Amino acid sequence: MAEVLLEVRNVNKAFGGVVTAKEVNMKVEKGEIHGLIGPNGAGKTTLLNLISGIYDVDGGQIFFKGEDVTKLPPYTRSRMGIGRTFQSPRFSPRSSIRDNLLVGTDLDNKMGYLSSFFGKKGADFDKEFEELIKIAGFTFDWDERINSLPYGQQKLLEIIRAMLSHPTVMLVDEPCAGLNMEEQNRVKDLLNKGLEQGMGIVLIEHSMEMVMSVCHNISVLNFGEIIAEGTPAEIQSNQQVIEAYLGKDEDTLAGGAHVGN
Amino acid sequence: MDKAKSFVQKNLGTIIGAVVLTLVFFIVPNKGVVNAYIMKVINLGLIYFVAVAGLCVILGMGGQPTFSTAGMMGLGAYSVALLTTLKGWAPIPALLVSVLWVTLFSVVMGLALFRLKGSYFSFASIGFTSLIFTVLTNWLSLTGGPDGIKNIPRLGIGNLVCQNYYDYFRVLFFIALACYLIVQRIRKSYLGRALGCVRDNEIAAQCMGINAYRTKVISFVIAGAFAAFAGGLYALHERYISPAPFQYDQSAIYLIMIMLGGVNSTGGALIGSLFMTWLPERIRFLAAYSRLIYGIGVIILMNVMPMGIMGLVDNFRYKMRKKMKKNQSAETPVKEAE
Ligand SMILES: Nc1ncnc2c1ncn2[C@@H]1O[C@H](COP(=O)(O)OP(=O)(O)OP(=O)(O)O)[C@@H](O)[C@H]1O
Ligand SMILES: [Mg+2]
Repeated sequence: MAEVLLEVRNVNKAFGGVVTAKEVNMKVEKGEIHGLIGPNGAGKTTLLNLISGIYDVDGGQIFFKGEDVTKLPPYTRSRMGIGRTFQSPRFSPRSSIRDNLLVGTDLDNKMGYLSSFFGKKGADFDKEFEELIKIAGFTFDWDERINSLPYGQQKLLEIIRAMLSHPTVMLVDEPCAGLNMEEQNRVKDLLNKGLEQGMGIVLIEHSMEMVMSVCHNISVLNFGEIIAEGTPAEIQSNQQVIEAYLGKDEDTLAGGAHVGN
Repeated sequence: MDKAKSFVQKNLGTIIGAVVLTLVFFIVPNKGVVNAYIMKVINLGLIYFVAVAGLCVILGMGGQPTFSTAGMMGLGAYSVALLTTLKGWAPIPALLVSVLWVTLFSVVMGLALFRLKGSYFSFASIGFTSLIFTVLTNWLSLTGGPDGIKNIPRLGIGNLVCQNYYDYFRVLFFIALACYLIVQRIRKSYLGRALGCVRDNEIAAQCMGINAYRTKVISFVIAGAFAAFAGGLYALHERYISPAPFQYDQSAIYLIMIMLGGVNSTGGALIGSLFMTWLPERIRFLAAYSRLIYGIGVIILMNVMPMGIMGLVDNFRYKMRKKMKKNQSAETPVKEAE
């Protein structure tokens, strides 16, 4: 069995009366893409926010490489190696593409403000970036503002930014929402590149085609509860999952674009 | 030959900048070019720019509107004034020590103020500046209250003392240049990028390993250091200070300076500082209405050019570049990127 990189243990979270995580358990191993699926509002994004530390858990624990990170602030968790993307890309729209992406390399280099001010250079950003952007399959002007790019390219760049920081675990929230088929394939290639580098990946995705083809394991969330866990084949034939999620909506089955908040 | 040509092309901006600066340095401080009064106004503009340079970091890069500038300047100015007049210190050590302790004080204030989020931070910074103003006005035995402090010595080292506003200009010129370069350096360093992340999306910043609280406090401390330095220079330039210029509404003027020039541009901050120092002198006869004029001005400014003068310039350059690229790609077939 591969090394367990991330473990969510009996995690609970509620917003007022809305329970978004109820005794959630999940394990992510090195070299696996772990799918997280479920209907809208099931609590998928909330779970990522709990893992990355944006929300505090009401109960339960989160372990990263065997270490309890439940009480640690988000920036510490990301420095330890929990990287992520967001459901809709979160960049500095007015900053250049270069500045937006360099932040990933800065994190990887454990850059300090003073050493950077005095001209310390980190790892070769250009070379690594070139490799990743080749996979993403488009080119652009470095100094252009990031919001001048099409939505799909921004989403790809957000994955690249996370990858530039060389996370151990990468949390990816609906990377394919709003992307065309070609771009979706590029997402796949990037995730596979991440696996090659030895990451464990958590993937939230509504496109079933994507989920079933890239994930090694899948957890299904419904009203904050994990109702099933297993390989894609097991999930596809699970009666409870079909009733709660898969069977209901033909669109999601067909892999139709779903744009979330 | 070719090499020399490409060097010139690559560094065209720097070369032009250096030439212009050299010309300004030698031409401006001459009685035949500007009279003493204008020289004084320009000097004040440069001193304010030093303070506004700090705003470039905390507001421009970090997106945190602070009204603490005038307060920190006040602390710097009074500290220099007291150390030189009461203790008989030389101007430069007084300046250094004042900047140092106000910077340390900024650490404490920054830690406290950034417990508050968003506009609460701004409101608290108004309170902070008002508090300092109250102390400066009422601690009669130390500060002389509203009467202020007179006979502050001139800026200088040993026998090298600024004798007139032209001398002051020659010194302030290099100080402003240094501040400009420091801010530009910050802008291109990790701190600048991190502040940009915090400004636009604090959560995303945290998830990229950036400690938002610490980063904001650092920007506050840098702003405090610049403001204290500006305050000290102000005292040594005016040679008389009273609490009045360190009220929080003066902080609003500094914010207008940076917004007018363009919140994202250090050069813009310089333009804004000089313009907003010159303008009130120019429209002195309207002084009674100055607040009304500023108020309306800000509303128009924010609507017409939210990114200030340099924002307009930027947009223009951006459009030109795009146009040029389009023409280029129309002429030559696109080279496949390796
Ligand atoms: N900060 C918050 N405050 C209050 N309620 C919240 C908050 N964040 C999420 N919720 C609620 O928690 C529930 C789960 O939301 P979440 O975003 O995790 O769903 P999701 O599974 O990611 O859905 P989608 O597929 O639409 O992205 C929703 O009902 C949402 O309204
Ligand atoms: Mg979601």
